[in-house]
Amino acid sequence: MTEQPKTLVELSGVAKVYGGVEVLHAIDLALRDGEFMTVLGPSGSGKTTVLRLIGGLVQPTRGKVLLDGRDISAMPINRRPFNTVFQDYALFPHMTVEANVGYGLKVRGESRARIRDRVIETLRLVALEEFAGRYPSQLSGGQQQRVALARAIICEPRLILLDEPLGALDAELRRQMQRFLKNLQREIRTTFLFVTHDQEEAVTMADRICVMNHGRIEQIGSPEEVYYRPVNEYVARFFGDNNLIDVALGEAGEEDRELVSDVGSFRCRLEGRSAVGAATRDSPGKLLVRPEAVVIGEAANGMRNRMKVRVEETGFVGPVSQVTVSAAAKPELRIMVKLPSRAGGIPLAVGDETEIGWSDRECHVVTA
Amino acid sequence: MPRGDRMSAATETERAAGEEGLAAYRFILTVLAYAVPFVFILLPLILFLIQSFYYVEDGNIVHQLTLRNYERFFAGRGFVPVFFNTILLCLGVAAITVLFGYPIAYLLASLRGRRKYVMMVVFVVPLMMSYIIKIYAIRAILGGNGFLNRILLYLGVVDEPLTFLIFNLKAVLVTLSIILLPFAVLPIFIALERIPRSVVDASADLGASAFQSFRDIVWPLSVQGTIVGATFVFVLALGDFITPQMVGGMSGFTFGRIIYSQFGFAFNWPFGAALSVILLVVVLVAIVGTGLITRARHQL
Repeated sequence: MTEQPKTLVELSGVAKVYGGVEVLHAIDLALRDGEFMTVLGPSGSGKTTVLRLIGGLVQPTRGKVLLDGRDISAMPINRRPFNTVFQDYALFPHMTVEANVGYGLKVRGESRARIRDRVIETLRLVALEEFAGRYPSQLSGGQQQRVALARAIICEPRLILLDEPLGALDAELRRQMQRFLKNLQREIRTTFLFVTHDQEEAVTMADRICVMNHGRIEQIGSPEEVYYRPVNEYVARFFGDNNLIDVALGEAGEEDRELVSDVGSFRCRLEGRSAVGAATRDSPGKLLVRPEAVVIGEAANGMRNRMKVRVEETGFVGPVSQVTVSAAAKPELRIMVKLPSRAGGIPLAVGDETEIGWSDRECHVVTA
Repeated sequence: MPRGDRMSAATETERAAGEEGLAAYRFILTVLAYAVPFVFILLPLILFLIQSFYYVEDGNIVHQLTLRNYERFFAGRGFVPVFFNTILLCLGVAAITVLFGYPIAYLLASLRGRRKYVMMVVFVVPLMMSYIIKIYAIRAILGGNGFLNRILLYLGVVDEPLTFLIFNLKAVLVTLSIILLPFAVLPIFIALERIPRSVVDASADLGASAFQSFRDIVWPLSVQGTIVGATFVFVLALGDFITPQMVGGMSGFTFGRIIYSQFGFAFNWPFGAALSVILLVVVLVAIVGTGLITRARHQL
């Protein structure tokens, strides 16, 4: 049996009201010591408020913020053992990189010699030791980002809060920084809370993802969990291009269950929450099939679930090719299929009548 | 040639003509942009400078270049002490306005939303008000039969109206400080406004106390605006001759009043011009000095 990881920070029934509007509705969230958690949600979902509440920039209207089980709701920001990497980096423009990074130690009254040593050490960690004497305005966006990071980690906080820190970077630099952050987190073994609206970023970086919407937490789970076993339609749609088919529950088999829809009936092995949620017969739900789990053409022959379709659209997007098809029995039902791209292209043309199929293991049902 | 091509050729010519027109337009604008300040600012200054090297004999200006006006300033009794006293007075005004202006600007900048701009307007309105009205208002407060004296008499603090409140250099100092206060507040306010909130949040996040945040972040980032405000006030105070005249009395004699008297009473324009040139040098030194100080610091 694995040991239950210790809870570092906990939000307990935390609600936040801004000018009469409740932006956070009594949420509960426990951060485990040493984990990389991303808080994922669209703008206005309350994800930044969660970060600010933990950091101490705002106080909860109701509920408590706990650190090691102690209530820290009233603890001022400058006493909390957390550091933040701000969205706009918030570097001190009048200080050199060295002074910026050393500031957290300076206000604590550390000796100059020690600050210098620690700054050099930390700058090496973010590969910026050459830039100690520069001013923030003389650095590129990615470099400023790493200064902000160094400034936060030098204080050896219990938790590092990152507020969409990669938002302003271009795609390539963003990927580099994602890898860098992930490695850094492993190296310094500090808990990271990373706020983002980019689901791909959340999936690639996190140990656990907390999906938020309209001031509520929709789901907390590992990237695989939220990706393959979303708890509801919102989460399912948030992780891009999911195929959702309205279904009603049919007969339960030995290992699988029948799902009845107006484009035919399917047999699926439902597991975990999905099986529990679907326990009531005839409860309306949606069958979720990921586009990459769907096969098309001859490959569909061997599959348990099949459907006659017409090809509506084909598109090449690098490593995968996207094919949109409509169900022959119900043309308004669109299914997205993702296939590995091949140099020869995909042997399908718009208007082709063909068949799609998917395994009974690639199904998941969410309540509508 | 296909019709389409001819069409595009035609529009091409039109566009070329249009561009030519635009270029001419730009040329005129450029000339205007340089000519207006030249004709209305630089040229009068040059004429003034030349005037300062002429002299007056028997009430007539002699158009002959001489240094006698400048010699008179440095050698003559009374001018140099008044000159330095005036500079000291204006430095005092700058110091007072910054001392009071900084907290006001800080308060304004820390207000949120609509309240901030309502308060801003409250501060800017006196700026638009006629200068003379403000001076009269201050006279009405500080004067022998003024508001302040009446209150003091009524409260029994004094038996006779205080006379040291007005018609001396201190009264000039107070009046100029009140009148010029908004000129100090505005640049400081703008400097404080430009500090991103997240930067101050970041310093608190790193463990700085409110005082440390102010000392290490807010003050260094607003000191430029403060210097600009002080320079503004200093330069405006230096050129003022109406305030000293109206609240300064006999003892509140300033350099501005001396210059004014050369033009208004003595009719010695060349000497007045020379004194003005000296004042201008001080103003230029102040402005260039400010520029150097603020440029040396790192820009946001």
